[in-house]
Amino acid sequence: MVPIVLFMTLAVFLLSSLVPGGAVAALLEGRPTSSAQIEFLTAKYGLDRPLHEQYLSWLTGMFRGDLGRSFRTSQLVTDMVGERLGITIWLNVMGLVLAVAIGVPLGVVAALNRGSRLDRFVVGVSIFGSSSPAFFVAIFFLWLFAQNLGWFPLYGAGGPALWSRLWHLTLPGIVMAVAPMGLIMKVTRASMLDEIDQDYVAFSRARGLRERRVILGYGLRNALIPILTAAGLIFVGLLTGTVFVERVFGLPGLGNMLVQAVITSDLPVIQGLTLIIGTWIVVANLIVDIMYAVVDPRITYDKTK
Amino acid sequence: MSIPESNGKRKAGLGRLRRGPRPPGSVVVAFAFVAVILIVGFFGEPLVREAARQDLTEVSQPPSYEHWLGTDRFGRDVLARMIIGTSTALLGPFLIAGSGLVISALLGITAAYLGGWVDQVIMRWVDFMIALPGLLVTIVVVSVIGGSYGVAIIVLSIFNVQGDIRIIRGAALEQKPLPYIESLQSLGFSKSRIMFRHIVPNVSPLLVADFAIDFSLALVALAGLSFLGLGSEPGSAEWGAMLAENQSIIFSNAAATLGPGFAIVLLAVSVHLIGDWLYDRYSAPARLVS
Repeated sequence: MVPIVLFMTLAVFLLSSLVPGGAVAALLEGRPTSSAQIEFLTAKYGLDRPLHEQYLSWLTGMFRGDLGRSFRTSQLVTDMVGERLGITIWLNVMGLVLAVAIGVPLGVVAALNRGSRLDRFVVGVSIFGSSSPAFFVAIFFLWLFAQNLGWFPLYGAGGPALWSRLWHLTLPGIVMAVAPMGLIMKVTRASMLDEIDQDYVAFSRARGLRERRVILGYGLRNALIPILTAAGLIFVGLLTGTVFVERVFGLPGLGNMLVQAVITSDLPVIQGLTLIIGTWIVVANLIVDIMYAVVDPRITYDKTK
Repeated sequence: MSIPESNGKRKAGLGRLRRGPRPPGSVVVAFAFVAVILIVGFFGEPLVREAARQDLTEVSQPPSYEHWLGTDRFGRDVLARMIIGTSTALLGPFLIAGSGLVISALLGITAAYLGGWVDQVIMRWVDFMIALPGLLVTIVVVSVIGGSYGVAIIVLSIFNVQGDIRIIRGAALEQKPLPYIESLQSLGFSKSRIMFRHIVPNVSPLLVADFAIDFSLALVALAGLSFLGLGSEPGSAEWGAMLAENQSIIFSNAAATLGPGFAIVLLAVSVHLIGDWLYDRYSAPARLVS
């Protein structure tokens, strides 16, 4: 997986060299300049060196914990990330936890009561949820809960106090959960439907085990693998959601930073964020792989392979 | 009414679309909604061009009889602009889903039928691409090479096709051991002829279902890019862009931002429902007893 992250950063690096006029043009964003200025900037950011040298110096910098400086603000990219990482992680974790905590029980109940009104409700919610883009859900919830009902603050991440922070991040966190919850419900329902038709379920019932044990201890346990796969995809997908949610709610997180960098062609920041996105994906996949083995003891990761 | 299959085995092919149980009510509503959107997309623009003009005497008005969804910051009728944006909203997803259909048919069936290293290469590529967050990568790519609607469509097409290839490969693998393939082989038909003249029609319902699902995903993704100001030209009547720019007048006219949002969601849900329905009917035969 590590090569994939490096590949992604290399791809972004090569793409950036395709920008018309190169990085210097991005840096100047069309302002009138003298050639002396261009030379100065080229030298300052080391853009006169051959491409592979530039990439290698970025790469060695990365291992020293130096991702360069923003073209726009001249801040260190690592500092910028450090300031914003907390909000993004909070939103993602809250989105995932809520999605699983609500989606899995509802999916199980829907599967057990197949064809009932509740089941149809769950299916409907999951279709609407998984088709609703985060940016629309965010604006809709903002309008409904913050503007009309006044339950939550409208904008920003609140003051430095923990309580104010949590208060401001609650609604965005709920918005993050909507789409993944739809997917989790759908997968849980389908997966549970597969399991409860199996012989072992009928047999456990025949043995006189309590229904709760049959469903949760046997059925759900076996149904967890597809749910886990979906959760892994969601953890990656949530990253995209963060971009929109942070944008709508005006939260200073990594997503907003990415959009800002993208709009202003701030290449070092884009590059740094690509690295973080890549690492995020690798870590998410790693966690899912470990969880597979936890959930299903038959899955082992052979060291001799 | 439906004609029962004689041998109980499922027979694929588009001709079967006309038989079988009737679609549920939700799917009928979805079809109707999509039909309305298509008509609006094709014929709507000339009718409302006048109403979409700027009128700075009527800025950010809430919904009224003259302006059903109110007006935006420049006094333009929101509904009229949504109608103008309909064709854009349809075109991009159509291209993305269409390319997905063609590429997944080519690569999915090739991978399944030829097997071996061809299969390996294609499927490793698919596994790799599926692990990436497509929209996020698109945001980065579009920003780095300079954003435009065309670039967004190309990059999203590249990220969209992986899931389809998996599904079509699976369906083609089911076809491969069937007797008709063997008889075609013994007749000496070429591989490409078997793949694209005989397997394609047999997996075509799935191709259509995939097209619908892709369409709804692409609609949402493209709207997202426009929402961030990366997809469409600034100021153009595009649903995602309208959603973003009208967010600032949510206090005076919430319909200006919610309207385009609902249009996106309802169209996406409708097309998704149709896709799911097609998919359920043609892919999981045993489990779906209605």
